[in-house]
Amino acid sequence: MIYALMASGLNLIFGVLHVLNIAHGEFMFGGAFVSWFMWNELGFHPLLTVPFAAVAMFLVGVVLQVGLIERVMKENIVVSLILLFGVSLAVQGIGIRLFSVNPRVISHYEGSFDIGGVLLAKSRLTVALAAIPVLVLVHLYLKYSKYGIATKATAQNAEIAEACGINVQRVRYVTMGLAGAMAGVAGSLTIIILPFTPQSGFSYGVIAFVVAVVGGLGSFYGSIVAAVLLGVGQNVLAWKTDQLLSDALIYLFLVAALVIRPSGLASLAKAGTR
Amino acid sequence: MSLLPLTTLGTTAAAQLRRRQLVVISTGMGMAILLFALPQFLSNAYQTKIATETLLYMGLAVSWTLFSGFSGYVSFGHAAFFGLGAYVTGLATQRHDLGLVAALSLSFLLVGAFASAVGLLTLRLRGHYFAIATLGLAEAMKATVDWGHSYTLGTFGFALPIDIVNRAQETKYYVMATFLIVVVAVGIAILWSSYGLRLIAIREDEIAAEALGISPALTKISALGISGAFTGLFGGLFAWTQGFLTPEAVFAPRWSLELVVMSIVGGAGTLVGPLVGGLVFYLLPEVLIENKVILQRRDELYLMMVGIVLIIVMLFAKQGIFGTLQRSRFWPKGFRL
Amino acid sequence: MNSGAESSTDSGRAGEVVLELIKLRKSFGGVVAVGGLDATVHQGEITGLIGPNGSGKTTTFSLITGTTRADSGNVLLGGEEITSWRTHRIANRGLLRTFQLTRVFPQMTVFENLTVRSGARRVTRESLVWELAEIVGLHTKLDEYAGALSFGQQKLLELVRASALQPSVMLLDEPFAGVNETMERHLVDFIQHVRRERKCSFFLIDHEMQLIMELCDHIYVIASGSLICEGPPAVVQADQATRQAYFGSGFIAGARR
Ligand SMILES: Nc1ncnc2c1ncn2[C@@H]1O[C@H](COP(=O)(O)OP(=O)(O)OP(=O)(O)O)[C@@H](O)[C@H]1O
Ligand SMILES: [Mg+2]
Repeated sequence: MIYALMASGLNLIFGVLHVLNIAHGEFMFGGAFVSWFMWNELGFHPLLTVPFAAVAMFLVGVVLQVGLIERVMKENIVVSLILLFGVSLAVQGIGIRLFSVNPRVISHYEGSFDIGGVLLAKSRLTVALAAIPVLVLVHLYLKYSKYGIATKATAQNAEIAEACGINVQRVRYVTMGLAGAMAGVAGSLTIIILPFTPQSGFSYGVIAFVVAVVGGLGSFYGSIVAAVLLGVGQNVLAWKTDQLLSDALIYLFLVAALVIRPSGLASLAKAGTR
Repeated sequence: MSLLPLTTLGTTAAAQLRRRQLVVISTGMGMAILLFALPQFLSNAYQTKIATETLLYMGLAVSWTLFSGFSGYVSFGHAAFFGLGAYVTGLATQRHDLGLVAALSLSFLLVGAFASAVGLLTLRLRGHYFAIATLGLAEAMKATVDWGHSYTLGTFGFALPIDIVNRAQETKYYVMATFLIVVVAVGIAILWSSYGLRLIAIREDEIAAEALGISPALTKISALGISGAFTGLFGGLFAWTQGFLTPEAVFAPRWSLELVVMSIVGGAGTLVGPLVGGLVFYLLPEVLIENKVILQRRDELYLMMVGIVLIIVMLFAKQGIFGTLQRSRFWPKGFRL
Repeated sequence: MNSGAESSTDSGRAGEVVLELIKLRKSFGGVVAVGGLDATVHQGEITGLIGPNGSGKTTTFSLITGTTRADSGNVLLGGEEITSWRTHRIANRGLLRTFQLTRVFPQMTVFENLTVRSGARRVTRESLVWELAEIVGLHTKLDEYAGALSFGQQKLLELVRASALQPSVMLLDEPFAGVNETMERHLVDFIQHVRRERKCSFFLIDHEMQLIMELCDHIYVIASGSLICEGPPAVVQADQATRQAYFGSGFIAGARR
């Protein structure tokens, strides 16, 4: 579910902005540490901090877009990629300065449920359940709101969307903000389950990339399906065989998926319905 | 319309090109000599070690450019070739008692073949898809090495035989310098040949290149093979100069990323770019460490500084440092370096 | 030459068949772009392909060069089946095309654009490229980046770049679009020159009716991917179906645009 939040955000960005956001994990770090700070210093309930993390990362996303990415929109994709890599490194540096390299975790939910012999950690269950409404909300937004429709139009053809009177620039700002908010939520939920350091975000970002690609770059729904498949698959593999093999297989899966169907799961679904 | 008399247009343009190339070649030779004289001016073995590593980074970045810089297909997977090269040299000397020369040749050939095979599978993917497919490559290699631990000696790595590793730091420097010169020479030969021009044509417009009779598959796969072979060779040299290796160290994603960053920030698609990039990203931090500005590579200040440098370069010199110079009006148009 | 494959029966067309399309078909999703097209290009002829916007002309070219794969049908080049060949192999066999929207290599100089295929060393010894470049006035721009040329100049560059490879057949996709009238004359002369001196045949798409009528020996008219009329210019101009489908009722033979 966390993967789904991350990857679908990445895909929104790629679809609308044609930018590979390698700094996506840093949004996650931002969200995680907003939550951690509010829980640790101000005593908020962990789930209550989630909206704050979302709003904060929304703003950061908009600022990033306005201040930096907008200036290289016309360039080759590598330019924005390296720019964002710079952002990622700088954020990691600042993060370490502020919070040190020690891992932090919100240890609010202890213990686990026993469902038919399968142990489920309370924290994991809470997080999975919390992520779903967020995804549903984003889905509703994309499908029904005025901005959502404008976003889709921009993704399909920015020039025509612009000619139709859509403020494409503002759509890009909102998209970046929205994706940032989703990653922020992902971060503030993750830190309830797993310890987080200022440099963890980056590795999550890489996994999110894999998920996003398998799901079909630019496809919001494909990435959610891929995230669930990959999350379940990885855990089953790690459980049935050894961890090492499971890691190798994930990446082989990625390469295979790309070679067989470069446009990802989403195009498979489309071909199926035709 | 009647046939026009033969023109000398092409001939003069070509002669001008040849003159410029001669200037570059003689300057390059001068710099090569300086490179060999450098150890005389370094005060201790540590400095020589840093210099050796800088050359390694430059060599790797040039190797990366041979494929990705020229063809425009950005590879994030060169850590796989680097690590494989390190492992081939490591295992060849450790398990099979091969000498250094044989082991390095093996790295060069095997990794070249491996890279071509990777190209065969992935180069059908255009643009971003190729870039992303290569993202997982190094991780997959690392996982494979971990998995085949009975042969590869496992997660904790191993040391190379002492009689092979135990050489003066100067010797290692000279070997590294030699191979850097070789890879730069190969790079120049490619860049100035019609093969190089074909690669660039593919970067500019693959469909048009194909419509003119250029085989994109053949050109790209061979270029990736050459690039991979040199990356593997430098991987082998890394194993040799370090004396030990672990999967974690040689397949680290940072190798892939740093090669991309060095090459592009130095000057995208140029040969001088990766050399400049190597200086900025390897030598500069070391100088700063020596002068106690930052404490160690990858500490927070380092991350912040590199991050900010990347942001600034990409905002104000989108072609990279040397690339921007080459596109300026002070540079003869179409003279590639 | 495989004369048995020549299904075309049009009498009065000189020269051997160099390019033959048999029942060529392609649809995108539900849209039939090319619906079973038969056509031939003969040695030394300039053959026209006209039709309304979206009638499948560009798609036909892409099917011939292998840029797009046909659903069914065959393409024969000099009697040889090339339908499933890769684009570059077809090009090396002497069939070259230009694109409706120009495709020059923008960050390469004009010089490099012209020498990319054969290599500067060899080309400098052959005067052909430079001769061609001089005809259209590109010889003063050798050191410019191709991306800095005007659209019209880019069209010329593309044309010269392909012609210099001594093709036996050239497919030109709207060479006259966006080109001014003086340049148009240069282009016509250029095409005639290449045809005469280089023994090249042409397959030509354009909307510039007068030029098409003037240049072409034989014309195919398509609408919605199917042939509605073919023949020499006079026949096509007189054809009722063509007038209705394409020129509209207001068309007067010989009028421009
Ligand atoms: N890649 C594609 N995907 C989907 N439909 C396509 C594609 N290429 C062409 N078409 C459709 O096929 C039909 C024929 O297009 P084509 O470009 O061949 O027309 P054309 O005759 O060259 O038109 P024009 O005179 O405007 O250049 C059009 O309806 C177009 O929308
Ligand atoms: Mg067309």
